Parts: sequence; C-alpha cells; structure tokens
Amino acid sequence: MNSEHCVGLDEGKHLVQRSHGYAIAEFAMAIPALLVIVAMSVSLVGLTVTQIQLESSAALGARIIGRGDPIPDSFRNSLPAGTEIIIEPELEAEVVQFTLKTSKNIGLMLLPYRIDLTATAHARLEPVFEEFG
Amino acid sequence: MVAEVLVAQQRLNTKAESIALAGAQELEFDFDNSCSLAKQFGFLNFGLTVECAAQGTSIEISISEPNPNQLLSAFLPNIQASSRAGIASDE
Repeated sequence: MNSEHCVGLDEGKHLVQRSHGYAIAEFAMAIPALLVIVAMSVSLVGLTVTQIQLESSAALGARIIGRGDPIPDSFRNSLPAGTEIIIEPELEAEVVQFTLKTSKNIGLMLLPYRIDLTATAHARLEPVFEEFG
Repeated sequence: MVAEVLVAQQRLNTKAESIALAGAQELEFDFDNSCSLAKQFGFLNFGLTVECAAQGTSIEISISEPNPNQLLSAFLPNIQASSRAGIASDE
C-alpha cells in the first residue's frame, strides 16, 4: 500500500514539475513577440508625436514667412535632424505654402525601415509697410 | 487609428489658425470684408466651408472635416476646430 502510494505521489510531483517547465518554455517563446509588439507601439507613438510636431512647426514657419521675416536659427534647430524646408510663395494669391519633410526610422535594429513624414501649412502674406525716418 | 485622428485634428487646428489670421488682417481697415476674406482663404487653400463671426476687434472662425478614420467615424463622424484672432493691442 505504502509503496504504491509513494509511487503515485512521485508521479504526481513529476507531472507538476514537467508542466512548470512547459510554462517557462512558452513564456520564453512569447517574450520576443511581446518585445516586438512593445517596440512597434513605442515606434508608432514616436511617429505620431513627430508628425504632430511637424504640423505645428509648419504652421509656425508659415506664419513667420507670411509676416515677411526670415526663418530664425532657433526654429531650424527645433526641427528633427535632417528636416527639409520648402517655401513656395504664391504672390498672386498672396499666400505662402510652407512644407517640412523629414524621415524617421521606425524599424528594429535588424530591420531598419524609414517612413517619410510631410507637413504643409499655408499663411496669408501680410502687407509690408516701409518704415519712415 | 487614434493617431490618424490626432494628426488630422492637429492639421485642422493649424488650418483654423491660418484662416483666422488671414481674416484678422482685414479687421482694422476693411472690417466688413474680413469674414468674406477668411471664407475665401479657407475655400481656396483648404477646400473648407468656414463659419465666421467678426466682432469688434476680433474674428472667430470654426471649421469641420469628416473623420478620416472609417472605424472611428462611427463614433465621431466629424472633427472640428475653431480659432480666434484679432488686432494686436497697444496696451
């Protein structure tokens, strides 16, 4: 009786230990997938933030050009690195179109992938009055 | 999905600001035409229908666009933005 009971217990323990092993193995397999999902989520949030910053900067830049002022260095420095500035004045319509173009890497280390971001804003050209004296 | 709507809302905000500023340029010397100019600016540059109200030294405009995301448009069919601009005060 006792020996059979012990045998049964031992088998039960063995089974429990084996199922723990499976859980750890499954978790270890899931970790890379989880990390990829987290990295993609962080990249998408970064992409959205950069796009919103570009839209805001394009509006500010269009307003500066519309006033007839030059683009200050502080504005250029506030843009993401490698951002291209395109200014297209439409003098007949008295409008300036201000475009910012940049690219952002959203890929992982082994799979780099760049996405082009563009933001365009319009502003009405303000009349320039020459100062007297 | 949500990011698409956020970016569209930001774009609409900047459009509203530029339309309000375009209309505000006329407030001081051609008050009666400030709203019509803002509406014209919004239509020609963005293809938007602008609601405008000019009061005294300021102009207030509001615009709306359809939600670009089809799934979220069931809950939020339109995104809206409004902006107010006026004559700079000397005080």
